[in-house]
Amino acid sequence: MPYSENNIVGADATEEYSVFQTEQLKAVVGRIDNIPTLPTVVAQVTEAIRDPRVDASHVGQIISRDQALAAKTLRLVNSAFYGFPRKINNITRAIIVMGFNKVRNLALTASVLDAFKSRDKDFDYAGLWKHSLGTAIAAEVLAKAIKSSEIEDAFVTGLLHDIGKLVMALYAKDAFARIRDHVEKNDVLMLNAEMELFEIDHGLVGAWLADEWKFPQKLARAIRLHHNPEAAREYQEIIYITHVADILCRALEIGNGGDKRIPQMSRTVWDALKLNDTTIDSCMTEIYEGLDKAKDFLDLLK
Amino acid sequence: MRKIQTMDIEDGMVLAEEVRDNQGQVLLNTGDKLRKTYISKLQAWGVKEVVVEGKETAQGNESPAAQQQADNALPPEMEERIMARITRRFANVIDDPLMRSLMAIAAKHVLARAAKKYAGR
Repeated sequence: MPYSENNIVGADATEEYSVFQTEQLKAVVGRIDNIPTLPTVVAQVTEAIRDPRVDASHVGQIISRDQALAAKTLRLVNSAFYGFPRKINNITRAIIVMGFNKVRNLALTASVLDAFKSRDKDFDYAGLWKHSLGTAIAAEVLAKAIKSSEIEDAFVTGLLHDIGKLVMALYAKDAFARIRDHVEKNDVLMLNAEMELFEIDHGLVGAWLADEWKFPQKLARAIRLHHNPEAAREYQEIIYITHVADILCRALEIGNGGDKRIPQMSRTVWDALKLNDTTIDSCMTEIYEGLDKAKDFLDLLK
Repeated sequence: MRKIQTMDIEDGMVLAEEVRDNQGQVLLNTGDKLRKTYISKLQAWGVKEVVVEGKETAQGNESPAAQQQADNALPPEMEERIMARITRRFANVIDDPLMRSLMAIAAKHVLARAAKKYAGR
């Protein structure tokens, strides 16, 4: 697959995974049944929300069937990042106050959060979580600044965009160690190392996981294409926002995505989102402010 | 105390009266500190006005000018180290004018944040 240092073209962005990619995925990630299953509840909630007849209490009941998930979700709901001092004690109320999408997104986050808590010394999991959180904040700030229709999903998309790295760190340790060595020795983007060694990238790995866990398609596409936004055939807006948010977060040195380079911002994306220096400047101010407010989110890792 | 519009809420204002939603349920108590982030939530609950303590203008702890000066104090060696790190991160993309101005803007924010941290240590 073609790529060059600055003009990165990641793994092929067509709908299905090619036979080659599936083989590479298996080679890197190993047996597919190694990956734990996401609580089926999250998939059920995604389905339920799609049905316009479904009401808050019904969705609340679905989530509450998984008590651990409900508890974790409520912790996120009540964390300082959401800012409201009044504690919300049940999921149905959370949905009434915050809306279906926000609660679904938090349930998703809660499910995934456990995976970031690894105590292994081999990789900076906390750094990756902070980078993910920074990107989430950046995505939401950016979406609001450009008055995007994707404001509701920006946060969770930013939060999960690098989930592929997490999958590799946890379940493909040998391959990931080789990638990290390559990054260290050559001071390149992790993306470059992945393509050089395995010809697939963390976007593809993440998208594969997103499909396994039945994440909304829009989310899977953004995960897959955040380094290759120009390949997007649909959901361009959220994919473009994620692309920019990742770069802003790195430029502001928030967290650790596993490498020490800034990727090239796509000119197409810059123009499509109608960005300019003033917008970026004010976004950066708000991103740092958001990060300070999100201290509780960071603490959830402990 | 004075009545203000919900949208005029600023960080640090203190409630002089409890706030109830349109069903009469208490949302916030007298003495609670307000934040700008509450505005949209209060509006969602139908709260148009709140009563806060204090006179006409909100008093900050320091004048903005004094705050700005404190923020600018970063030792030159630290500033150099940070700039070198930032320049290195952008090394691959520095030929692009878009990335060059992005770097300049980011550097400003990173340095300001470092200065604030340094001042507060």
